[in-house]
Amino acid sequence: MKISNAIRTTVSAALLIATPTLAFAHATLEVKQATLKASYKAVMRIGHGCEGTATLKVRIQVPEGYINVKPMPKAGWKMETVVGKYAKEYATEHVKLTEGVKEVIWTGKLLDAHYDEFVLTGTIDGSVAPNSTMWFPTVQECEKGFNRWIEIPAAGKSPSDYKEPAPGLRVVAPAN
Amino acid sequence: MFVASLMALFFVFATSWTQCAFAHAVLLQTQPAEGTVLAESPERLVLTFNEPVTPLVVQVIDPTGVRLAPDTIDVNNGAMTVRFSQTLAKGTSLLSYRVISPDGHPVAGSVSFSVGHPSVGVAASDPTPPVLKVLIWLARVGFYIGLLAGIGGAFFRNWIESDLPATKPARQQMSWLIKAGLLSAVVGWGLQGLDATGAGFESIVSPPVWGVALSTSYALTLATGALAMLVALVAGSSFRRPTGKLLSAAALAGAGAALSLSGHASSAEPRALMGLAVGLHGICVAFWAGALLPLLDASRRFDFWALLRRFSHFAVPAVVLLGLTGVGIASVQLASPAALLTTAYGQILALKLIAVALLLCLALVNRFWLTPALADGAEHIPRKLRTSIQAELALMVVILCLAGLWRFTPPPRALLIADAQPAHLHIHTEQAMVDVTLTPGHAGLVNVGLYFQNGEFGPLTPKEVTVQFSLPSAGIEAIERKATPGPDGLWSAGPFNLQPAGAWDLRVDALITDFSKAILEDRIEIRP
Repeated sequence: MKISNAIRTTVSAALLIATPTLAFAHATLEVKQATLKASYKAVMRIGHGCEGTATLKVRIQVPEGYINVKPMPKAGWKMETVVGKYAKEYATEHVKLTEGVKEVIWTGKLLDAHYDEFVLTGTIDGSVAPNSTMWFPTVQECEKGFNRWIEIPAAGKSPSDYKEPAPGLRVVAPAN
Repeated sequence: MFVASLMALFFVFATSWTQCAFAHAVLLQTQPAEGTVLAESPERLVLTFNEPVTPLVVQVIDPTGVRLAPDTIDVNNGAMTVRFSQTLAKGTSLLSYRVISPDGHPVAGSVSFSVGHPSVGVAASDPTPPVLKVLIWLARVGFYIGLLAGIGGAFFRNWIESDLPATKPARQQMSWLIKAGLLSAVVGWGLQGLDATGAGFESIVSPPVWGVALSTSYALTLATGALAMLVALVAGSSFRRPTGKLLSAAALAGAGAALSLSGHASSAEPRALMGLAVGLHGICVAFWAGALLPLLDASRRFDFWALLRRFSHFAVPAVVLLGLTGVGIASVQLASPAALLTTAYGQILALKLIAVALLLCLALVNRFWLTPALADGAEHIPRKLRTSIQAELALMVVILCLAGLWRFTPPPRALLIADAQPAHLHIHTEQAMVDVTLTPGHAGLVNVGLYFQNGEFGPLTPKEVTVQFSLPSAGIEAIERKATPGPDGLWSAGPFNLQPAGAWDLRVDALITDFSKAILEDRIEIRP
């Protein structure tokens, strides 16, 4: 009996953990919280194609304040970046940054039945307001149609109120 | 020459008026919106119309019923900003406005909002007080009597009665009718101003009230009518001269022109034809109504029979024309026979038709029984004829009184147009704004037109637009359609089957760049 109880507990716990994976229906960030002035690895999870068709292109827009971004190449995927001026100058310990990667585009093929991750790494600048949300608008281009994960919630609403919410990252102050 | 100039003047009046557009200003949005409960008294109120407007009267009625005048009113295109220095008391206040469209038509309405909490007591009321309505009606009836019976009388004296000696009372009667009509025109002008501005009776002395009335189409009718009555007055005194004939004919034409220059009927499409029908209808009424008093007066004379025969000669075609134009106007105005009983306009028309039927019966009796009998020299006939003419006079007054009531009832045709009117909504966010037009604005299959601008009123061309409606209160989930762009920057979507009527949630998604989308959401009232 003890064993079956343990199994039941484990199953319940597994279900609890599994619940957030429902979010795989959307494009989401694996880690949804980051600390100011710290590096952050953004892992964008793509759970399905558009209307059952394969994804051919994934584009991620880099939010302002996420600086010094380097995307991770993927085998089988062609990767391009759009480099442009930042809205302002960011001063790090070593250099002053005025421009950087603003958008990353991966071109390849991901079947609707498969899952994949697209990775960027960079730093959350200290000038970003603590307890704010950074949005990573992401566009999936498929054999048929688009998924645009670009809906930014209006004041008083949450991403779950939307059909295609933009993946969000909560930024918090470092715990001294 | 004078007559020719007068005719030309009427023609210029008539044609210039028909060219005016009848698109009235439509209120798109208010800040605060209808029914909003605000935490604090607002510093400013903004009314956004679809076209530039000129404010006539803007006031706020606070929860205690005190009327507050704004400190400043700024108009920037269609946006009217009203500022108050006073703080509104807690409860529901009413913002009442009256503005004038570029076409000169006053548009009035009110928006209620609350500070702190809603309260009862202040309600949007009929802007025209009952006393004013009665006075407007009386002035209109007086004007009609002068315009139709007075001018018609002058015409009768100059054309029908020209070679017969007129009695002094007959001449005086006509002059008094016209003077009463002229007085009614002046009073009607002032009352129209009071109605247009919504001002109290004490404001009748203020020039702006009279000025505002000038911008309404009824002023044109009053001015033309007054001119025609003055010409008729001159024609009446130049009796038995050629100028009298010409002037009275010009006055009669002027009476028709005056009636065709304003009113529900002559603003219906096809406007030129409707205006002509109204004008001819008026001329025929004037001919008939104007003849009654002189005929009554002449009934004691030995040559009454000759006069009556001459009148009958013209009266038959006039009555036929009167009937034809009347049926034509009514069929356009009513839109459906059922409206005769179901709408206020139709009910007035029904009563008027009963009065006209009685009048026609009397006329037939006079024409085919009493007049031939008079010719045979039967003794008691003149007395019977007098009674009959008196009854005709009374019926004519009843008819004019009924016609005057139409001032207050929109015709069923206009009600149908109002029903087909689109619903408008303006949604404004920092990022983008959209003007949404729902055609028609009532439940059923509705087409949506969208016009986008950026948050600073600049041009905005979305890459993709989707429109969705939902009615959560009735359990209706989102009905979504993609919109397609038109050549003029206008997007259209639909049709959407919006049933039942109610406050639908509307959401417009406009893709601005690949990564940014403006989501514009609001609620729109769909009429039953």
